[in-house]
Amino acid sequence: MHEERYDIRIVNLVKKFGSTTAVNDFNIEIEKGKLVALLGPSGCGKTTLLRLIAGFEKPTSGDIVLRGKVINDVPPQKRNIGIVFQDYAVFPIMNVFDNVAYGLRIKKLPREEINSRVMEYLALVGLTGYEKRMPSQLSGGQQQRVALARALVTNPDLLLLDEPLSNLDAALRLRIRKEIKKIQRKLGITAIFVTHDQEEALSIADKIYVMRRGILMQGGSPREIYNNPKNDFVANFIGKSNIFYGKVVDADENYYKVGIDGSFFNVSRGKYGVDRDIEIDRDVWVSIRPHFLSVRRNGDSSSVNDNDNRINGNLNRGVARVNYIEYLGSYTKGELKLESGLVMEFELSHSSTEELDVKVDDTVSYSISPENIIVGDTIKGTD
Amino acid sequence: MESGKSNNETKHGSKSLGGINETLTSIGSSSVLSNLSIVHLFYLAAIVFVTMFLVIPIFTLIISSVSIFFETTRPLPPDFFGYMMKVTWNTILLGILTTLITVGIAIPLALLITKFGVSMPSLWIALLTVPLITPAFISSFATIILLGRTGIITKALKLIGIQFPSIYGLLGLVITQILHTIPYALLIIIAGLQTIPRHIEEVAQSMGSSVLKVQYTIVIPYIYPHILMAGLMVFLTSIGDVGAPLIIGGSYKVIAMEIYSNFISFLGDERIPLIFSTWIIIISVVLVFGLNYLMKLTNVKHKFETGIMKYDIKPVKRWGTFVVAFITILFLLPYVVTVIHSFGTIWANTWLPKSFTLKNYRTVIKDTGPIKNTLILIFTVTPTIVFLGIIFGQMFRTTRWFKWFNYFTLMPFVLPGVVIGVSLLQTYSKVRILGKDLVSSVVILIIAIAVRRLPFVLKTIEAGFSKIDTSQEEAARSLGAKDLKTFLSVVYPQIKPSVYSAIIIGIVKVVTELSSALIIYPPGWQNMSLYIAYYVSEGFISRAAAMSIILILIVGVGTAISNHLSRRDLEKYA
Ligand SMILES: Nc1ncnc2c1ncn2[C@@H]1O[C@H](COP(=O)(O)OP(=O)(O)OP(=O)(O)O)[C@@H](O)[C@H]1O
Ligand SMILES: [Mg+2]
Repeated sequence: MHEERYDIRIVNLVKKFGSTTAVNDFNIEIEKGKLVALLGPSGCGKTTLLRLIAGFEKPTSGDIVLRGKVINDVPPQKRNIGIVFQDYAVFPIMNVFDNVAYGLRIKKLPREEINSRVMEYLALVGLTGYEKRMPSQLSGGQQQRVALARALVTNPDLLLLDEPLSNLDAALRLRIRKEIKKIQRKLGITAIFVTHDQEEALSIADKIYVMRRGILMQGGSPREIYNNPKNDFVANFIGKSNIFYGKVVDADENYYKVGIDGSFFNVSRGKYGVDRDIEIDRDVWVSIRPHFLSVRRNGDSSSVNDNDNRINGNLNRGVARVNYIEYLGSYTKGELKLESGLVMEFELSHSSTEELDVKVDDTVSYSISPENIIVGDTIKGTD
Repeated sequence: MESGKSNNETKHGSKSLGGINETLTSIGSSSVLSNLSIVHLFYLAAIVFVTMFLVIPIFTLIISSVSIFFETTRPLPPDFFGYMMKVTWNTILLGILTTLITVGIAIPLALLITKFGVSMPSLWIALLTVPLITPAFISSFATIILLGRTGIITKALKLIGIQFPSIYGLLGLVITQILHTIPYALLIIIAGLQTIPRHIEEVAQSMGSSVLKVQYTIVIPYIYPHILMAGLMVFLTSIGDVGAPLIIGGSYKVIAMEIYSNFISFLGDERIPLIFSTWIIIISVVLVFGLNYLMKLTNVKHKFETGIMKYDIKPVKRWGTFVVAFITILFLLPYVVTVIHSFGTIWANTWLPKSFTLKNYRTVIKDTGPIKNTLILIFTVTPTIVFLGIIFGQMFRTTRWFKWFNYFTLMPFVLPGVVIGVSLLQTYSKVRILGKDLVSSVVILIIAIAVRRLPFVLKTIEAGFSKIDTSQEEAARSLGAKDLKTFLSVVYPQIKPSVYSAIIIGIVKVVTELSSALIIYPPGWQNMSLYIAYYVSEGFISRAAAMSIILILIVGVGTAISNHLSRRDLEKYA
């Protein structure tokens, strides 16, 4: 038998609570030493999946395989899994040292070893010198580090993190996210990171699994998920996007022509979205990222062409009215109303072009490269 | 105080608007008199009541007991301190044993009921809290029926060759105090268990800690403040009680009993109640503050939305249900035998009473005095304390710098009833109203029970108040409503459910009150509790049982009526 490549495999996993199916026929495989993000909107079953893996819930059917062993009936105590919760769950009655030492004491390690390992892991999370503090004397971020050290110190096979950053303020969230990633790399531990924040998932994960209503929508590297969403749900959920529904009205070997409520767009085929052909007349979803819209003051159309003259003939272009505009320092964002009535968000980075100087109700010209529009025919809905 | 501010603002505002008329009316309406609105008069009355009948008597008592030591004309007997130390030690030993055993039983019981999924948890909780609505001394004489020289358990044990030791003394006291205080400990610990987030236990488990180990390394340390609180309640209740020592104490002398017996007896030394009262106040206050300090050290506030951990372990569930049921039955046995005894004739050396009869009830009811007196006390004291409770609740909520007064209103929680009784009699012994001695009129009894039971009612009403935001009143006031009107229209409807609970608690606490009544009942004003104590001391156990059952029935009827009213009220608003 060859050595198992995956640290954890989840096979056809189902979990029902009465009539709600929290996890529905779930299959994922996670390679050793990878950090994967489990991403999805609130109530989609992320926590339930994590609790199934940790052993706090029994699967309705399916298997959880940890390092080649089915662990469905193994109690949580015997799974050797570390957990970090959103609410830290540090033991408020013990000081920092005792919190981290708890698992080692349960394992009845010798005193000396406990001391040295606790100190080692406190150093790892940057809490050296805090050993004697009680949790009530720590900030949220520090408590979360204690929880992290405590989860790691016992050398678990798998680390589970359930929205570990959600209770922290924005700045701290970015810092601890970076630290978690670094520590995970350094220790080479396999980790599952649950979040409903797509940016967090993109930034931290080797692989992202997007979940919706208990069902796996798509799994892949952050780049894949972002650039090549398999359906409208993923396209909408990962990164900002304008999602439309329309029909393929025409196609040649290079382009589809997609009609959306009277607007028509050329879309490069084969590059994104689907790997097989979409027939004419198929219903499709269309995703246009706001930053792929080029917007110019009306009359400056010459500069639009400069950027995109390679695919000049098929460039999607036209004029539109500015519905709404926001100046945000490094970029400007706003809403356009196309001539056909279609409303679309745009985002213009100020570094690439000079600042866009328009007001609400001004008329502007826009263009979208056919390569930057994604279509697909797997329609799931965006909520 | 707040209304004063808002009135000033109104005045100011209308002035700047100009207009002579408006200025005139605003001056009129914010005159000193209306600024001190009727609400403030209520506050004042409530403060005066508690000051006069609790604060001043207690301080008078402390001062006069201190002055005894400086009096040279009549020195205390030389063996006094030896005697005082002996009684103190007895009291503390009783308190410690009761506390350790009660809390020791309550913790596993609470764990099984709340976390290990025993069947019918609310049934066990309901049954185990029956002692809350009964006077303490019922468990005492039920203990005698069960374990006394001729008790049925004593008899059963004799059959298998075990001689049960005499229960008169420490043993009987500990048993009855455990029976009586278990609900306090149980409820406080259950409340504590509800505060432990599930995640904490899950983390511990995932680190390899077994379920049992999680309980004693995480769960029990976590509820340490609740355990201390439960211990404090049990300790103070058991050392302050005078009913049990009276009935089952034998020659075991405890502080509360010495206060009582020296106070009522002509042979007693009238200085002993004063000194001992001060002494027990010192012990209680030191204990409360010491514990408060310990609890502050470990106070953990943890916000969580995950619910508490519940374990689903089949054998624990099954055996747990069995154990909980067994303990519940054990604890209810006294009440069962009380019921049986109330219908029995002679019950000695037999498994059941010789024959069954209604005679006990007839005899007991024939003398309508005690029942009438108890009902009069219910209808005077309960409205008084509920009214005071509402006033204080509103006052502590809206006027921040009066919060410290709450330390006084809550004092009776920790002071034994006999101490309150002694302090009132001592302070007001020479006061006459309408040509009658205050202390020989029923007014003093009403006052004593009211003062003593106010904290229970106040706590209940405060719980209701805590759910209301002061901004609602500010809104009402900004719409021009006067203080009292604001309160009646906006606040009162919301606290109404707590007021009904407070009425129930008030009734229960008034009916079961014994210790202060023992000290100060004016001639002809013996209530049912006193009669029960009297019947027991005279050996009329079956009459005592019958009277106890009637008393429990009165509590039950009162509770039912109040419940009914509150339900009807809810329907009206629903
Ligand atoms: N113990 C339970 N009993 C019944 N239903 C449950 C239970 N636990 C979870 N559910 C349901 O299962 C679904 C998934 O819940 P879960 O907590 O896994 O969502 P989540 O993705 O973690 O959401 P969030 O981002 O809000 O934490 C929800 O509909 C929830 O109501
Ligand atoms: Mg969750």
